[in-house]
Amino acid sequence: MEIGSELGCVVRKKCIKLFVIFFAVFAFILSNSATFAGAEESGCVSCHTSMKNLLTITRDIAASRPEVEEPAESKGEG
Amino acid sequence: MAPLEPYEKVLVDTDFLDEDEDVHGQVSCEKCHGGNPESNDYMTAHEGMLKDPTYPDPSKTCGECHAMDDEGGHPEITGKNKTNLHVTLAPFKNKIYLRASSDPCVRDKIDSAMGTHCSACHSSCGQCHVSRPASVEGGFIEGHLFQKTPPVDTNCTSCHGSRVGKEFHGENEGIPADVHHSKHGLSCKECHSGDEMHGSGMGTEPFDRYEVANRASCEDCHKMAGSEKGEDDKQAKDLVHPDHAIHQGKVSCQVCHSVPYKNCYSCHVGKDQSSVPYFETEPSKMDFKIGLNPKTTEDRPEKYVTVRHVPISPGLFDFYAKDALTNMDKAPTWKFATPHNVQLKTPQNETCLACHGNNKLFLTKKDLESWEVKANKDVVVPLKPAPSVRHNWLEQPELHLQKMDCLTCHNPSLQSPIRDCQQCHSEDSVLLTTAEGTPEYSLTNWGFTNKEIIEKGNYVVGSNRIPALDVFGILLILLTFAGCAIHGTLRFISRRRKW
Repeated sequence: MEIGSELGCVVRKKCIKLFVIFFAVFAFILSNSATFAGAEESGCVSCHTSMKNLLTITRDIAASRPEVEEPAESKGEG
Repeated sequence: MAPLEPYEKVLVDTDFLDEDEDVHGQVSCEKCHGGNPESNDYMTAHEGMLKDPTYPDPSKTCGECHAMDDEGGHPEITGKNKTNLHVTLAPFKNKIYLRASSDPCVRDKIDSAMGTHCSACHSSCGQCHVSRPASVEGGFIEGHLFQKTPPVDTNCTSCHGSRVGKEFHGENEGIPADVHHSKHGLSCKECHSGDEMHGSGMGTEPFDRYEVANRASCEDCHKMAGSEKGEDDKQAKDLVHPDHAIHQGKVSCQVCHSVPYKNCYSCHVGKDQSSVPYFETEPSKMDFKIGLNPKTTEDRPEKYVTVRHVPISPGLFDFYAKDALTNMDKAPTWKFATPHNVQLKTPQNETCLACHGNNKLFLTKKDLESWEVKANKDVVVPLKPAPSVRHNWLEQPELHLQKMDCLTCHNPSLQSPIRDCQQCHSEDSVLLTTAEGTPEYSLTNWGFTNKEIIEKGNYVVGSNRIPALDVFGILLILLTFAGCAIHGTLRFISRRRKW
């Protein structure tokens, strides 16, 4: 019985070790993937994929900037 | 084309982040655009950010992957960028400098004016494949998804719209669309390949856009009858019409197959009271003009080409520097052109005389302002007398011109045109063999031998006859003589008997 429980314990420990190693490797790969590193986690993506955010920001920018005049004197075709 | 709303211009489609949709989305934003991705404040997030990281030098963005040499050792895509006219706009600058004063101060002012008014019209990798060109206020074409072929309406015609775009799509009132578009549904890319769009890859920048070695040509698809097609040749109608053999190398394709196109006049640039830049042109005119080719080359040997008036004027930069363009005579204001409104049948190719001798079609001194006469001296076509005057050595010039097919005398198979009356007006008339090419015709036939010639509207005194009647007439004359002789003989015999 003791031999059996010891063997079970060793197997359990090995399983946990393997799980930890697998998890670490998985986490490492994920953290280095371009999508996660450069896109999904960045502020650029979160803002530029949200229409609501962009609407608010572009309205704020438009309100804060002096109005750009159209060249009123342009005539003809370019 | 209406501009996009500000938020639409920068809204990224989430598909862009999907590797299966667009591999470019796997590269982090800041790798190409810079800026600060950690910040959530738009001001600090965009500090040092490049809106178009592909202009002027795409080597550190697109070039990371698209700079390899191809098998032929030619620089691929980004390698050609330095001589890509879409990026450099070199011919614009070349033509202005050619006409400009050599005074360095004036040149500086011209550079400044061109920087404000002209140079913004360039393109770049990004401004074709990702967004609309900055000159039309930019904005993503499709949520930052890279477009292998830029769309015609948002990109090609946003810059090439007022002339080429409108001509090709038939948007000029009363002028039909180019037959390649209206009948065959072709768009820009079918003729203007990616290879051409990315530049020629030549070591030096071409002076003129028509010097680009890999530019589109009608002959890429249309081969002369009998010429062999290569494996890569696109298939299109062969040029079987005999007029092609006659005119090839003498007139450009558009001379026969274009219809009126847009000509622009008198551009002036300046800044208004609020220092906002503006430009002004006189109303454009729809016109069709054939001029002399000022620079014949091996691949453009034609003597006659279509020419278009460019908007240049001596006072173009007057706001910045008076009399900046002191050498206006150095380049023609009517420039070699390839109008994009090709038609199979045009008013000038209906008949020979619709073009030959029709001085209205040709660029003459009457079409020029006094200041541009010298500039266009190599383009203006000398006035030629009317066909009836040129043919006044004939007995009845008008009758010949009305009734005869020009090719009867000006037959390409003959070394020189027929000028001897006897060549037509004789029993062995050339019309029976060379002109209509039917050797079975013969004036010795008993039937109405030249019925076909008459049906085609030709008229030749003496050859339009029934040979049977000739024989009958000769017989009648002979019989008359014979009758007289017999009558005389019989009278002589009867008199001698009386004596």
